[in-house]
Amino acid sequence: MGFIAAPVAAWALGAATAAGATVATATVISAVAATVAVGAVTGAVIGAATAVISGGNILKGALKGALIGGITAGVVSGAGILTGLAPATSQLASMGVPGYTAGTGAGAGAPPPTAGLKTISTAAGADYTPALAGSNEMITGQRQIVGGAKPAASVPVTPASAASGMSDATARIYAGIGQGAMEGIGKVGAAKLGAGAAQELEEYKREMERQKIAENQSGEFDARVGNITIPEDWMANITTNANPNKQGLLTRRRMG
Amino acid sequence: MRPEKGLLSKAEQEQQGQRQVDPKTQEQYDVVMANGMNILHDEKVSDQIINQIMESPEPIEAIARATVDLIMRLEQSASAEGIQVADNVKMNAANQLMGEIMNLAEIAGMEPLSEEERYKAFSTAVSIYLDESVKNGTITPEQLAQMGQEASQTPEGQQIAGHMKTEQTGQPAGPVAAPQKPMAAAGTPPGQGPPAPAGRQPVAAPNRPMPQAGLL
Repeated sequence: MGFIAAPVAAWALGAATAAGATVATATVISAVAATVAVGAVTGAVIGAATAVISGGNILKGALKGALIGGITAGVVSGAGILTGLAPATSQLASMGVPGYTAGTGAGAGAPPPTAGLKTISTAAGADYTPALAGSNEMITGQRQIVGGAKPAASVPVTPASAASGMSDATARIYAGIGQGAMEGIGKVGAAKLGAGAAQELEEYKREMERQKIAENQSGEFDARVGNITIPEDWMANITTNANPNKQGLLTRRRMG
Repeated sequence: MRPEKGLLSKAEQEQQGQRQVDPKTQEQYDVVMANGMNILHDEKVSDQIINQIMESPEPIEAIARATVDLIMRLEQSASAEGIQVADNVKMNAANQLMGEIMNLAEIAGMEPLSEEERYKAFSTAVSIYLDESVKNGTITPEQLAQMGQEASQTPEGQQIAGHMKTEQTGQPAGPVAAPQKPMAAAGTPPGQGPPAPAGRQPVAAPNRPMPQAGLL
């Protein structure tokens, strides 16, 4: 306080009225609507009184009460609070869900628009991505391999199970997320598919390496065996061992 | 039988959205507004306020504090003359003067505030005013509790109190019951907003009436 250097005009009711006070009031635009101001003051007074009774901070209590007053009056969107009073459209719009625009005022509001939601129809192709239909499916992350062939990518989906009591707006949030993940090539879906394919490829490579090692081990054994000078009597057995029907010494030993 | 002209005139006025304003309340409001505008448009004062707002990292709070300073200065001036400004007068005057402060700031280059930001500024000003009033003794804690009790009995207050109750588990149901007081007649300055709900009764000014929809 104290920014007012000049003395305040004399408090003379008659003089002030004669100076055209009503003219000044008629040309001023208020900060908020009159009814909204009532809600703010009512809320602030209740909040402050509650704080006084409970021994809390009066300023915080008043601010809290005024905030609630603003929400009930429909001025405060409450997006960060996500109360039931805020329209779902505003919350969804603030989350960046396509197809929704910010609503005004509190209340149930109109049902969310469906124009922005697309139907997913990705046919199964070389990447083994199964066909998807509808917008109520989401990736579960589980992989299913059919047959012996290893697909480059296999991302089956299961229908999203709506939790009991989930509002239509919330279900559409999940649908939107699932849709965004599965919609053709791009963003989350592509990243997940790419990650799955890369992992599958790594596993395949590792298995090939293992097989190669096993094959190398056999080759190395043959090479070592090949460098050994076999006695002549043994040679006879090995020669006869060329005939699979006839067991030679080495064969017998190997089998032993 | 035709009702008396006075009653018929009153009904017609209510139907047209006009309400009978307590002349003294109206006059008090006019004086507060006249003094407030004169102060606000003083060159030094306006420059200082605008600089505070434009240089503040929180312009909304700066607007709120400027409004509180102005209202409290006007209240002190009136008190020095033995006049107690009614709460509804202060509320409406603060609303109007804050609007003028916002207008000056926007002319000076501040980005226009959204409806929610304007509400935040006004609610912050009201909260700061209540807090500082209790600290400096203008309002006693008992008076504030009584004001809360009365406010919680209004339709808006019941809704707000209900929401606050759900967030404060274990808190008492509400302020201690206070003696009921007659409420001030709701009044609206010419051209100022919608009328207050009917049924409100006059509040004696020396007993610090609760804020209401008067002068709306």
